[in-house]
Amino acid sequence: MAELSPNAGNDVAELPEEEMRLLEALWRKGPAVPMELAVRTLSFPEEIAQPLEELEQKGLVEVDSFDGGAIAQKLVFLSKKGARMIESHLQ
Amino acid sequence: MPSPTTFLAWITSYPMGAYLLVLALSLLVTLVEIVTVFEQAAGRALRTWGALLLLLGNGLTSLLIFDLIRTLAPETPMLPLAFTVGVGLSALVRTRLTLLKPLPQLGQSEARGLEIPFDILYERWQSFCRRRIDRALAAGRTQLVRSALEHLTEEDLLGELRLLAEGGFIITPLPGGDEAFFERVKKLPEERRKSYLAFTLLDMAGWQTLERLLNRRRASPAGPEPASGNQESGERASGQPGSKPGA
Repeated sequence: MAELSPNAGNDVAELPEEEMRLLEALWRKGPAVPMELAVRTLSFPEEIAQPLEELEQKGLVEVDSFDGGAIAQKLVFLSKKGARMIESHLQ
Repeated sequence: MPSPTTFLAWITSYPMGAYLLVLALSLLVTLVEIVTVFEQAAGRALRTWGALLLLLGNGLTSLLIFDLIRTLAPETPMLPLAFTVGVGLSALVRTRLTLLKPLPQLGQSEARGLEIPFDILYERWQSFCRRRIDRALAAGRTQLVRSALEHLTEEDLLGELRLLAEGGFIITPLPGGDEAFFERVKKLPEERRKSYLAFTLLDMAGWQTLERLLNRRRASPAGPEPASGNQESGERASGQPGSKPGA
């Protein structure tokens, strides 16, 4: 079994709702470009930019560069830490 | 017709047959893994390099393990061994093989043994392949949206979404319902509105719906066709953004 980080799942309640919704959307439907994430969370792209940055800084999502033309230059993945956090929250 | 048991016994009586059985079982288990993980886009996921890598990697690993066991213990019955390795590979590689486990020292509850972390290695291998599948699927989705931006008007997309809404398909649980959604969409900057609608349609109604719209547009080019690569011109051609389809 892979060892869990001692802090895994401890900060779920501290996450703002918008960040939690983004994590949940990634967990339910997989990696997405920011515009897709906005659609999945019923938000607009501008509304998720800041929460997405916060999640990346917290290590809960990973952002890869992506060649999607003018509509997508980034692809957002759930990190292992983010997956553990959202799973513990949803269970 | 020989029974399945007779057939399996016969095929494993030949060394090559046993290897084929191991390979077939391993590929089947990996296929099931991919299909269950990428349930919504299983066919497309299977046609990616990531899936091919995963299938090949798992198939070759199971063959190597089978060969290793046969070499070390040649008297092991072929049929049960082929099934164990073919079906049980993923279970086997998720275990941590401990080669040496010394007695715990004083003051320690447990000593650390010499381990081969198959689970970690396999997890990394799976993540590597999965990321490639995810990237390929995302590339397919954005390519489809780009085609939609090129060939469909804003009204085409809005019309399909309105049809879904009128058909009782809930687009959004926002207060105010679907109308509130359509009102909000109008507030988006023009250059983003159409791609937002295309992604919404893709997310809500699926790949097939967007493809069907594109095929319909290609089959009947008489309608307002947006200029290639220019989404804004499509919006101009279709009239007021956010207006009802067919209005």
